[in-house]
Amino acid sequence: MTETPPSIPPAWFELAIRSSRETVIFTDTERAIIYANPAVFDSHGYLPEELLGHSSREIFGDIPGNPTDLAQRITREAVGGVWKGQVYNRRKDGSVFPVRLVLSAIYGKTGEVLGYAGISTDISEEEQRREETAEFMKQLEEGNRFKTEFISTLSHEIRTPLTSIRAFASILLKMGDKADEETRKDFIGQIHAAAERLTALLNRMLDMTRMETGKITFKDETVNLTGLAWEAITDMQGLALETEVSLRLLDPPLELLVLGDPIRLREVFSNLLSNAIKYSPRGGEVTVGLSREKTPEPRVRIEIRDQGPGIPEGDEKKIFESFRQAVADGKNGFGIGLAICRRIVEHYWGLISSSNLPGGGTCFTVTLPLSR
Amino acid sequence: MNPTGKVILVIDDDDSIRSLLSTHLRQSGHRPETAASGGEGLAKARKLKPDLILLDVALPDISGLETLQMLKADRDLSAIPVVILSCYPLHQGSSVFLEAGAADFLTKRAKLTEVISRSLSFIPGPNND
Repeated sequence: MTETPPSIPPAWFELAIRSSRETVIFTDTERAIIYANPAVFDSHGYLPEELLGHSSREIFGDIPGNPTDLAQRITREAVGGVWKGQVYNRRKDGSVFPVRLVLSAIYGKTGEVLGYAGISTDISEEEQRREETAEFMKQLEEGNRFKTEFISTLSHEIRTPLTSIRAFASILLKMGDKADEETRKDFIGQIHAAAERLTALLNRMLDMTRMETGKITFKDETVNLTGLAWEAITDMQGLALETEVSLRLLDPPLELLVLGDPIRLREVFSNLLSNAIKYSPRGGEVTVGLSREKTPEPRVRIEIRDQGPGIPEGDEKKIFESFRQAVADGKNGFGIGLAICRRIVEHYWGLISSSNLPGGGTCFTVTLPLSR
Repeated sequence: MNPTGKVILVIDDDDSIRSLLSTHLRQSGHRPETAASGGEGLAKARKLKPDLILLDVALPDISGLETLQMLKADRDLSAIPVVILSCYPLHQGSSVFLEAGAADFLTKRAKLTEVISRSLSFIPGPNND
């Protein structure tokens, strides 16, 4: 193609700039504004006339952190007399936002600098998206790290009962008919107990997953916490007896009504009690205290105290996060239990915390709003 | 079994509260019996002639007040002290029950041991403690 391009009517240059959605500003060599296109109203909140004669730097760009003397720098340093980059601009209402700026010198016919042309694009949305993406990536990484921790804890939790199932089963196989009735019963009992532990572990994991994905429903019923605590304690007496731990309900009020789902709140007691019993030494004592807190908005206070080793310093909060277990001492107290408790308690506007007791042992405290 | 143990009938529709009360009564040497409704309570009271009755105000079939009135109307049972357990704070509504012959009106907000020791004090005879 050797045709000469059709000539453009000179008025089009101005019309093109006037119609542009990008903000276009011309200044003289001292950076006083001599032209601004209408887009400056959308981007900066000024009518073009308001800006004429004012210093562009003072109006838009006098913000700490922005490069100073851009105009001098582009004529002095830059090849081609152009500067591209990201700076912050100020709107008429004072708010600050990021823009991508192309600032070029306007040369006259003899090469002298007549002034500067700045074209800027508001990139605050882009920036926000970038920040959101960064935050999302961070969360993903965190989640990933949790998952790795989770899998390693889980493998350990699964391996322990599995090892005992395999061991007892293989001994039974080897002994065949030579095993007497008592041994056989004992070993089958051990296998059964290990299988039960695996099932319980799986159930807790499913519960946690359901809670994390919001697939679990919480009922709102008036529940007598005293009754609930008593039921949970009665249920746990077997485990307590087995480990020679005494489990006591300290003189409670006969009635402490809260709003909640009896099954879920019962789970809170069961989890806290089984932990307390598991970490107690033989002959130790676990107590459950129930009381009415005399705060302006009355609350029920549940305190479960054990005589266990206590929570390592700094782990008091961590133990309530999912997939974590602060005390890794070989006892199968998978960290999910406490995370489940926290979810349930917080669902009913309650609080859960732990503290080490001065004389040794731990106290888990749950408070819930009284329903009347 | 403690020969001085008293027969105490607990009438409450809450299973766990019946269990809590009867466990503690048993631990202090008494012979608790339980009923989950007013009707069952009346039947057991006639059969057992208990030394004391603990009666919840809110019952599923006939109300605590009606149950109390029926106990007091029965010549064989009217002498048995009946302690009312109420879910209300303090003595809200107590006068109706006291006029109907209740020995005392206790709030369930009180502590378990307080409720038990106060109730036991209404059992006539030298062996109460």
